[in-house]
Amino acid sequence: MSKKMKIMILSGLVIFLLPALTFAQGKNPIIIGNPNTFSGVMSMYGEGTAVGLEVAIEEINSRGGVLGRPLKLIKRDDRLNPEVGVREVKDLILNEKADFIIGVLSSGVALAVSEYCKSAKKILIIMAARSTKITEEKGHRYVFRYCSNFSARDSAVLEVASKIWPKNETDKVCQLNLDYEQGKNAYDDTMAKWKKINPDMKLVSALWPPLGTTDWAPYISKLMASEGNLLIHSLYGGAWLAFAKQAIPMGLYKKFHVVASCAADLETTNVLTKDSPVPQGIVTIAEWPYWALKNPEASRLAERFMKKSGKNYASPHAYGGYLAVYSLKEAIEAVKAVDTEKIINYLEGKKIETTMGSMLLRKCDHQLLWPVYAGQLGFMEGITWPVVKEPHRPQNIEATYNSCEEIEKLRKK
Amino acid sequence: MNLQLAFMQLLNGLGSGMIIFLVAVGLSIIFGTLKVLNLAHAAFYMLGAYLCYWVSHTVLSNISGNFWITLLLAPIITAIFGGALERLIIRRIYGLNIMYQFILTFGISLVIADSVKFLWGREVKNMAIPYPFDGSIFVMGANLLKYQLFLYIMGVSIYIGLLLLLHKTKLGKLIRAVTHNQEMASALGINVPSVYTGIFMLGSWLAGIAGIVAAPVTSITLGMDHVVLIQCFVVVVIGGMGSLSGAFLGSIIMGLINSFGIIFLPELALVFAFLLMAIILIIRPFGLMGESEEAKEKF
Repeated sequence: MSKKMKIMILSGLVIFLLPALTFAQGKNPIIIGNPNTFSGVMSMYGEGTAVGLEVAIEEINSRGGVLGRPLKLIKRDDRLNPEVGVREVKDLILNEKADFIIGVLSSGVALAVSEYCKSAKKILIIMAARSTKITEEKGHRYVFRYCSNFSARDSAVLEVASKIWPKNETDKVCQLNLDYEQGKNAYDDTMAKWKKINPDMKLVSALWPPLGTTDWAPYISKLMASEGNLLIHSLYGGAWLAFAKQAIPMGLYKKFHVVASCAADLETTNVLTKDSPVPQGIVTIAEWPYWALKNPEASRLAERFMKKSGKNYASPHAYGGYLAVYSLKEAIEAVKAVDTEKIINYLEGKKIETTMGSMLLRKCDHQLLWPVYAGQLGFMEGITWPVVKEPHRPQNIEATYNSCEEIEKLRKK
Repeated sequence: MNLQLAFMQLLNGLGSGMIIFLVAVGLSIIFGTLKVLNLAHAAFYMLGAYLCYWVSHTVLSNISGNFWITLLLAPIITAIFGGALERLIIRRIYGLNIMYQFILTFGISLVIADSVKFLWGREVKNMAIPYPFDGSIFVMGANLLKYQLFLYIMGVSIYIGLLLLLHKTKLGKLIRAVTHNQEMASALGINVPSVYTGIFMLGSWLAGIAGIVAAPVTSITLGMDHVVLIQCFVVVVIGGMGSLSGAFLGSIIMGLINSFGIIFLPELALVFAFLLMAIILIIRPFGLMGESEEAKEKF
């Protein structure tokens, strides 16, 4: 065979084999779009949620991906704005060809994005937005939630509050919630639930500071001048931190028993130390109390999340994202395709194994029945920031969520 | 209405008004002289707060009273940064259409916000209320944050200091001359570009101070500049663009409207300020203490 012939045969082989080689190495990735809040006041939550997705994707890809296809994450900043959120999700689905959408921090953004995903027939998995509406009144086939919702959080904190404080010391209720979807939802839910627990309660005052409030003194003065004895609020992040900092010297925590379902987010409390003014004793929640679970997998993941994020705490939202990616992996492998409808059918009613035990992904509302641990805020040995000291796990987790019958009624309204 | 609550809201309103004043006065002075509507002004406020956290938690972490040293040092950094920005970028758009100002200064605010995110991360930062203004004092049967006293002192001192600077010093005369007639001032040998840079530095210094003063009573977060910027614009419109006393009066009105609005109609507390702004714009478009165009021309 002449030299020229050899070159021609080799060239032909390369031309024919190259696409095949390329295809094997870089099979079409399965794309997960992650719209989240990566800028502004709440960006630390967005960062936390993304870490769980990244860790899960790294683990899965290092073991060969899903059905031989790698997972690819595309992050987008929704800037805590429903309009921007929908725009970004549209782009993720239409241009980036995202197969799944996981993320969304704000309830307001989540409701808007959810409507779009419904029309686009794409699975949306919420990891941090907590408004019950997302999976109840406005729930639909394509939306799932892998974190607790307000109903469960409120049930958990109010149950603990009712056990530790006498009824006659918690019958005059003041409410303080941010004036947007999250606050309104928390208000409605806590009022209905506390009325059931303490039928003699009366609402003394309801205050609605706008999102972005930094000056809390006028609100605190108004609360202090009221005859209230129980303060229920859903402040979180920097808002809660600033509120507590001003409320402690003004004596609010001496006058009120305080229930604050969102106060112990590690994204916020990690900046507090034993020397900081901390409202110890308030009843609050630990979404994923990895420090108290005594579960090796929880400890491993917490370490992994901390290493990945470079933080000294592991975000509970990261854990929700981690579980969501693994659920999708399992579903895709079970149905042997990235087929939205088949995956939904597979996931509905599925039991998901977690570091907090087995959780049911309820068929009627696609809500993962996440156990909400509640207790009093305080300091523990070995942890430098305040946490829920003795997290109490509700005995009947499903009972902390609205029932399927209740949800059906809400949807018919 | 409960008299004790009314008194407390008066004190609270004055306190928050002082923080707003410290930010708004810089914006007003810059606009008054340079005729630049600086959308990046509140970003300097945020920068001041982050610098305060950084200096007192790293550079001076082992020194007691580090907040007070920071209060002196950090605004100098924001002032130098502001001066550099004016010299290198802002001065290129003087006299151009206002849209150029909006786009450029908004762009600068985004760059500052992203730089802050890059340097200090996305986490919320926490500053303790410094001694001796930590804790509270008992006034008329209620607790008032001691720190409010510090806010009154700072706000009033800065206001009086600026009045003295503008009306009793040679520098003040130069600033007023440049403000009223730039061409004439230039013809008389005043170095107008240097005065402009100085004014921009002064505005940035004030915004830096405001950020530092606000840091102990609020949480230091990305996006903390957005809310303040809106409040500043309301204050400047109410008080009058470029008016020092207008900014002071407008800030107090803003603080009081908010704190008393919370007593009567908490759901609409924020709306009252915008309502007042709309009314003033209709009745007196140049603000409570501002000068109409005719009055300026007469001068």
